[in-house]
Formats: sequence, C-alpha cells, structure tokens
Amino acid sequence: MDAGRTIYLDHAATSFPKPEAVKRAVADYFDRYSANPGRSAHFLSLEASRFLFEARETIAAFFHVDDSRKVIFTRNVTESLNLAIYGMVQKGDRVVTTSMEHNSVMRPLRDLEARGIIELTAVPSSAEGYADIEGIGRTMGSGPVKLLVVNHASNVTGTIADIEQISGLKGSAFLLVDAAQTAGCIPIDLSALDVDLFAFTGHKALQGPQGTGGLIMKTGKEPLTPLMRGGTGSHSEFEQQPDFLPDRYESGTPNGCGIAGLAAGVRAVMEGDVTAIRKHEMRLTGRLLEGLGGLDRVCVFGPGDPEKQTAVVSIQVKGISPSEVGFQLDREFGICVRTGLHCAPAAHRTIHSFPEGTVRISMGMTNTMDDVEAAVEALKWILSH
Amino acid sequence: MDSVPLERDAKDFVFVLYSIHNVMKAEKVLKSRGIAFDTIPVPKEISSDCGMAILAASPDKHRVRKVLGESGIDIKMVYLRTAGQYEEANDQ
Repeated sequence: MDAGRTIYLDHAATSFPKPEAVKRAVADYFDRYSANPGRSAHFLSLEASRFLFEARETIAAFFHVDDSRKVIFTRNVTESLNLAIYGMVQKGDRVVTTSMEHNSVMRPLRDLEARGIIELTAVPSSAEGYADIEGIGRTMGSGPVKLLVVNHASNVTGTIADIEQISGLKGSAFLLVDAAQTAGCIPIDLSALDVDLFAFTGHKALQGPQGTGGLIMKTGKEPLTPLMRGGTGSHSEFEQQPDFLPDRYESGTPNGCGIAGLAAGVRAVMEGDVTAIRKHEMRLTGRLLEGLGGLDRVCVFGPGDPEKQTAVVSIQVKGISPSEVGFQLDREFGICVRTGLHCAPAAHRTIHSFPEGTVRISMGMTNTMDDVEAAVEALKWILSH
Repeated sequence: MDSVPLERDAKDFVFVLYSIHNVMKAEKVLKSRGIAFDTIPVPKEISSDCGMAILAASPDKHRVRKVLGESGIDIKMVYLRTAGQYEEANDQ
C-alpha cells in the first residue's frame, strides 16, 4: 500500500486534476476580465464581453457548430437538460426515453408525467446498457412524439449509444442528447449528426470547473421556453425577455470565471486531441477489463469491450457490498471511485444491480496504466482479506 | 490582431445590431478584414437600449454592411451621424 498516493478513478463524476491552463484561466479572469459582460460600456465590460464571445466560439468550434449563438451556457448538464425538457414540452405531448437515463433526465420527465403534462415511455435497454433500437422505433412509430431523450453514454456502464442510428428513428420529434459522459472524451461532430438539442457539462471530460455546462441548439429555432428570465444587458427598454440567442436563455450575470476555465479546458482537450484521448482511455479500459476478468467473485457490468464503452466500468464483488469495497479502496489504497446508484436508479434496474448498486471505476485523460494496475491489485487484496 | 483605428469623419454611420454577441462577432470580422471601426454605446438619441453599436466611417458603410451580411450578422438599424445629429439611413 502506498499511503502517500492518490489514485483518482472517479472521472465520470468530475475530472481531477484539472489542467494547469484551466486553473490559470480562472485566476486570470479575475485579473483581466472580471467586469460584467454585456452590461456596461466601459472597456473592462467590453473585454469581458469579448472574452465570453470567444469562449462561445471555442465551444462551437469544438463541437462543429456553425453559429456560436446556438451555444447556451448553463451551470451544469442538469440545467441544460431541464431547460431542454421543461422548455420543450406542452400538455398532451408524448416523450420517449430509455431505461438507462440519469436522474437529470428521469426526474424532470417523471415530474411532468406525474403532473399529467406528458405521456412518457421509457423503452427498456438491454442488461449491457444498449438502447433497444427496435423498441424505440416501434414506440416512435405508434403515434406523434414531441421529444426523444437519450444519453450518448451511460454514466453507470459507459455503454455508448449509436446516436446516428437513433437519430434515424426520431421522425418529427426533437432529439435531445445527454452528452454528460462523452463531451471531451469521444469525438463529436454535431454538423454530421441529426441532433436537435445537445446537453453537455463542463467539469467532466471537458476539464472545466464545476458550475459550467451548456445546451447546444442545432438550428437555434427550436421552440424552447426559457427556464429563467431576467436581465440580459440587451433590450433593456423592454420588460419582456428578448427572443434572440443566446440572450433568451441566459439571464443574470454569467459564471465568467467558470466559463474562462471551461474554455481553457476545451482548448486543452483540443490540444490533446480528443481522438488520442479516446484511444488512451480505451487502452486503460481494456487493461482494466482484462485485470478484472482474472478476478474471481468480481462481476463486471456493461459491454465489457473498450470499443463499445467510455472509460467507465461498473463492478460488484460477491460477498462485499459496493460501499465497503469503495471504502477499502479509499482507506487502504487512496483509490477514489464512486459506489452506489450513481443517480441512475433506472439504469441499475436495467442492468440488474438495483438496489445495492455497483462500484464504478472511471478513468480520464490524466490516468496512467499504473493507476489501472493499482486498482486491480487493490481489488485482489480486498478479495483476499 | 489590433483593430484599425477609426478616423472621425464629419459623417459616420452607426450600426445597431441585435445583441452584444453580434457586436462582438462584428468586431472580430471587421478586424479580420482590416476595416476601421469603433465600438460605442448605443447613442441615447437613437435608442434607450443600453447595448453597444458599431461606428464606421462614411466611405466604409457599404463594405461594413456587406461584411456583416456575409457573416450572418443581422443589422437592426443604421443611422447617419452628422455633427451629433442622427438620422435613419437603413436604405442608403
């Protein structure tokens, strides 16, 4: 046991450590730009506005979005998903989703269902976390659907959805993709995907600070009602919310220092090359799966194939609860993982790990093969004690 | 790249855009084309909006309009400014 070492394997919750450039950008923001963007006419406010504009341009370029106005900043992917869901649906609408969704999708949808506003179908996914393409197709074909909501990859099993294939099923419905687990670690080209609304978080694989995220609108003409209304620095002579992007959906002073960090994080990912990051994480995942495969009493959930999942692996250890495994990894080895239900009870029901949950080992671009070996060795030790 | 300083003409044009985002985008594209401009508060004589506007010299008016159009930046209003007086010049 190396008591002095921290091995962080909880990147699916939030990435750590952040790139130095992210920390510098946050600090730099306070020194250079910290006036209120879009509010005043003095040079510092203008500098802040230019900075915010450039951050939006960076994110638009990263996801291949033609017009950066379509990038709406939010405080996290949960807010992005809430904006998309509550902003889109009206009484009587049908909404389709999968049984592998996080509560950031499920709770808004179940709330709308419980209040009699929407009719909801959560199409059961497979035990490996794959979306049931035929099932979604049948449900979409059984009557008009307003909104189809799917994750790009599961936060529990890492299972990657084929968004291109799913987008072919949407018909007249709007497709909302939850990219919390993929933005920054899997190449995404929105110009080539028929996705209407794309929700991402800043603090995971995009390497930004917590409190950042966004919603990208494909056309900018999606009929979304804002979640919040208020000051935008524009059209101030009117008491009504402006109808243009991004102001319509961004009321109140933005998280300037956070967005500064997010833009730096996205640039770090671009410099690292997301394809190379993906390959690195696939190698780590492959080695972890291989190591786990050699352990008796360890049950691996999900695809069990690095090509088909993000660097997220969920396991159970027979005879030891997930929380006890996590506790021992932390206390004995300084290995940080997440245990339990990962805010996704429906996903755990789908993969048959409810209610005890799993031990989730999730890797990021800063992890090394040594980190993976250490986790496998630690699990061996736990199994033998 | 630094923007080209605007030499104040007796007559210049104020381009009022729809959002600060568009003003920032206009700055970027005008700068990249080497067109002189300034970013100014929307004059109170024109609008009570507390936003910013693009000021360009009279001879560059058509170029500015063309560059903004090519960049997908909608122009809300154009005003001719002469000795502190503003008149609508959307069609000029």
